Amino acid sequence: MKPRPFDMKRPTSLAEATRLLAEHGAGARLLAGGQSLVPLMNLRTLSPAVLIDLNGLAELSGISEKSGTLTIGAMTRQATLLADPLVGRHLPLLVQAARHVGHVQTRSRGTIGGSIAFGDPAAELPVALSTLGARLRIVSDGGERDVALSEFHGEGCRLSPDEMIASVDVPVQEGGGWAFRELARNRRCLLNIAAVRTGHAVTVTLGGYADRPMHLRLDPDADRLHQTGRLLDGVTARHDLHGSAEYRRQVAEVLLAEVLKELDEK
Amino acid sequence: MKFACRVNGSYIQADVEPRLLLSDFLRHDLRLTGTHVGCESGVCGACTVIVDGEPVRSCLMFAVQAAGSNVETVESLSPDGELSPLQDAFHRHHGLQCGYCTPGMLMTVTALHRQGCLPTDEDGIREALSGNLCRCTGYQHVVEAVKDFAA
Repeated sequence: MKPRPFDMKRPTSLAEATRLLAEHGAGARLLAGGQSLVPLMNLRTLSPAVLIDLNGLAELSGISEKSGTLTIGAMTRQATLLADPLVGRHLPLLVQAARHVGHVQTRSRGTIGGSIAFGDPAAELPVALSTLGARLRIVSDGGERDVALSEFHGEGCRLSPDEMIASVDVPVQEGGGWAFRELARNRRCLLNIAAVRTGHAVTVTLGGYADRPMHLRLDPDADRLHQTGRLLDGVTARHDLHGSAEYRRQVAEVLLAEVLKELDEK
Repeated sequence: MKFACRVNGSYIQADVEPRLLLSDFLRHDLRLTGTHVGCESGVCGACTVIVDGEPVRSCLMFAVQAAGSNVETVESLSPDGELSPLQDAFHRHHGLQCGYCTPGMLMTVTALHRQGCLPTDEDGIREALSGNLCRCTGYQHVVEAVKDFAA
């Protein structure tokens, strides 16, 4: 229950962090909040040779708003999302999703960038953020790219070994209605769903069903439940000790129906 | 790796392996064995301490990450051996049986109380303590103790 020895690097700037990442590549892991990585290191499921601790990078923390978009630094803590007035005012769906993340002690440390990069298919924040149309700013030594989170999930949540998430841009929610549902046993999430409505269009993201969050755009002119059923037919649900594929399918249908009903009532 | 931090008000300098967990640093190096270690994988909450005002799982932080921080453990609640009001509430309501999980619960509640966000209703208290597992009492007396303290 103790990690194998590793070399710890503690950069103080983003430039230094990306240089270290370029130098150590696949043998290194980035340490953000550590709430998923450190358990795996304690269990020796993961034993990186080098750990690059991002906690000294003040430039990666913080939330700002500019012309209808909130920019959230990758090292912004989950607890900060719950307390921040800008997020509270402009991104109520994200706040609701953040309430379901872990526990008070893990939200103190856990970060928004870590939630995305770790790639747990049932993680709440990526599900809410991709529904909201969030984009990632991904940086490397001498490089930078910008990708929609829904596309990032489509790629299988892949970062190159020399890349890291620097920030997340989220368009402010308009008054079109939103909903979030989750089924979890003692915070171990099985499935979750986030939905937003813009005009007549509805966007839904389903987490925990497949090996990555599924992003569904519903045609406003067709029966929505029928559409979601057809979309689910095309994907094999995961099955593990938390639930069979059949059970996931059934829960997904129930949660989808609830979310669409709630959107209609809002 | 050298680092310095403050633990229960005392300035500490140390030179440790980077892989040393904060929980092990507190227990083995500083002999502050009030912080208990249950699962070492971030599930049980027994090792909860307060770092810079926030409740955290000390088994999920490396000791060197506490550099420049202010760490508080359960020992800080009763420096003179007198029970603090929260500890006294746990005592009066019999909010523990074997006591293994108690330090983590006390530190979680202490941090939330100081931040002014300790719930006073039963559902809120259960939610606040959802990250602290107890294998004996079934939580009822724990909730009553916290409710009494929060009132």
